[in-house]
Amino acid sequence: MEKDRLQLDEHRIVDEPYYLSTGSEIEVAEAAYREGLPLLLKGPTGCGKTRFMQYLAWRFERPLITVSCHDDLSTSDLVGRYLIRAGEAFWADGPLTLAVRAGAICYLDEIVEARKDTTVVIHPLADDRRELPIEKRGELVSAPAEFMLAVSYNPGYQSVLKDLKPSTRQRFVSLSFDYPAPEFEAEIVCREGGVDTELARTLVRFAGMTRSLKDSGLAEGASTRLLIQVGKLLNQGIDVNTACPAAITESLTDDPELLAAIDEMASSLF
Amino acid sequence: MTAMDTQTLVERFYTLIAPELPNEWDVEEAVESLVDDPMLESILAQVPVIWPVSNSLCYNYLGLVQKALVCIRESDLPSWVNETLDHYEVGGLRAAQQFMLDVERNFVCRMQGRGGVRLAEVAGWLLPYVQGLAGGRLDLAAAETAFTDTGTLYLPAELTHFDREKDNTTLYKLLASYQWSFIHQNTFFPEFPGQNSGDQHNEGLEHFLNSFSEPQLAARLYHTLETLRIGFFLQKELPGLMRSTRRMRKALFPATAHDGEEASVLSVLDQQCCLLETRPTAGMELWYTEILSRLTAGDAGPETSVTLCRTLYDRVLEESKKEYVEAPVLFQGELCLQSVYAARQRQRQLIEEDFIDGLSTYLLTLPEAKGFIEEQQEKEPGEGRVQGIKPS
Repeated sequence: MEKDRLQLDEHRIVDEPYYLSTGSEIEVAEAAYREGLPLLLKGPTGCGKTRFMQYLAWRFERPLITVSCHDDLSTSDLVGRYLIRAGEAFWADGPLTLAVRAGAICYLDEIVEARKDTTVVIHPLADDRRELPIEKRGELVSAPAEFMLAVSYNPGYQSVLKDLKPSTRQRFVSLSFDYPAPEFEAEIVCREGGVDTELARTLVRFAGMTRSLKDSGLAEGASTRLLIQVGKLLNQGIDVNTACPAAITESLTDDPELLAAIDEMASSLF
Repeated sequence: MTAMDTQTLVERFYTLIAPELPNEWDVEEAVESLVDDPMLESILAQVPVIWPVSNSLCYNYLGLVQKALVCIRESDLPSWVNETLDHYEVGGLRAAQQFMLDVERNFVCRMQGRGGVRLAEVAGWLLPYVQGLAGGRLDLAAAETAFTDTGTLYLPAELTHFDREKDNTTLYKLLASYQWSFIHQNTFFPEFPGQNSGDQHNEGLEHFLNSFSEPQLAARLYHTLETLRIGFFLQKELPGLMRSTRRMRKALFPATAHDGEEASVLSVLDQQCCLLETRPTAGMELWYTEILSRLTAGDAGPETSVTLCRTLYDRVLEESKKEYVEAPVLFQGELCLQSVYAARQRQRQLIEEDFIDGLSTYLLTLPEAKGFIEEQQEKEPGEGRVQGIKPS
């Protein structure tokens, strides 16, 4: 138990994370938390979904256990498994079980990447039962009121095969995220990237230009996260004409013509 | 060289393209002029590269290579062949032949970092660049001069204004940025008193320009004023582009066109389109200082240019009677209102057709529609038929 407590303490967010609300997402999330409803966050990469969860965890004073889902992630990876130590088998809780037992927030990032069997295990946890069955132990763990389940996915580049099933989607309160409006995004870049307002505005304009390239074959344009990274490189004395290709252009594509187009956008703007 | 030597060369050719066996008379005809060539080995070394791609191209190569080697070094031959194959891949045999025909212009200039640039060469990145600027779909097409119909940016098929290829490439970017700005800044749709705000289906600008005794001169004046306004806009919006093209823009203004105090209104405006002085300088004429303050004001729009056009027209008309009116500066392009209106008309038609299609599809799903269609079908063909509704 002591070990579990120490483990959970690592997931507590002590300092208030910077989060600029651009709508009613905090109010909705608070209401969902009070009613024990799970959250589904949708939105493009780097638009602030994870930061929002960190902010909620700080606000609710709950530990935040984040699981980055991948195509090898199985139910056992989430719920737990028996391990052998010194010739003896013992049970080790997975991150989901740990979060349920402790009344933490469990955030399954990019849920559609995980194996299909994982969605089955979250179903009873995501509806009014709020229970986690641990088949291998024959145990049914009821989630305390403090527990919250949140999942995220990016509708922009998920394939049909990797879409969420309606039976899963319809258990969640959905919050749709997008890149903030230019003035808000500039404020975020200014604050997080440590650049002046004028430069932040130009970076946001640059990102906006790259986000228009879907018809040209660019799956997603520059995220707010990338803009912040440019700011951080600039703070380290890197020239803007070097920072933009390094932090944005090269991170977006390998296509020579798109690379050239994005480089030309940058050289026109800066 | 004897007939035997030609035969040896033919046999050599066959070994290079083995196991293929083309007609001997074709091969003989292609290689016979090469028998005495001191660079024969270098020439033949490219045959196995070209033959598998296209036999016809290989024969063309053998016919043109000696002429090419007058302009290019023997060591550059593989590069020339590679570029020829690139053209073949993109545009087929015809494009590759065209490329090989003018070695000086198509290859040597490029090797020396000078020469023209074709739109086809830059379109790969220029199209996403303009779509990034526009925030959505905008097409590119080749034309004699630069203009836009608001759905497509038409740019010259080739630019050869500068010696350096890099400068001509940047010039394409400048032309495209100006044409996009004309759309973005509403140059084609200024609002006139009494017109509904935001009405983009009007042809008010054309009516306005036609109200002058010399509509073409008025159009030239309005377009130049708009180019100047757009220039100030681009200085704020794309400062990097405007900074990097300052020297280029200055070079595009004919030096003889502006002659101190005697300069005409259009000549001064053309020059300022290139220089983009945002602050009044010593010697600047008073009328231009006024224009500068109007066009750089925060609320400046196409209506500002309309007002200034009215103010300056008489003076420009007088001057045009005394001296030749220069063509506008290159990056300004042309004002093609008929293309703009035609494109808008097409767009409206498409929207209308989409609406009608959508509405008919919906109507056909209604239960009443089924009975109605059956009733119509029972009637004689042509009698009482409702046009535009077909049973699905």
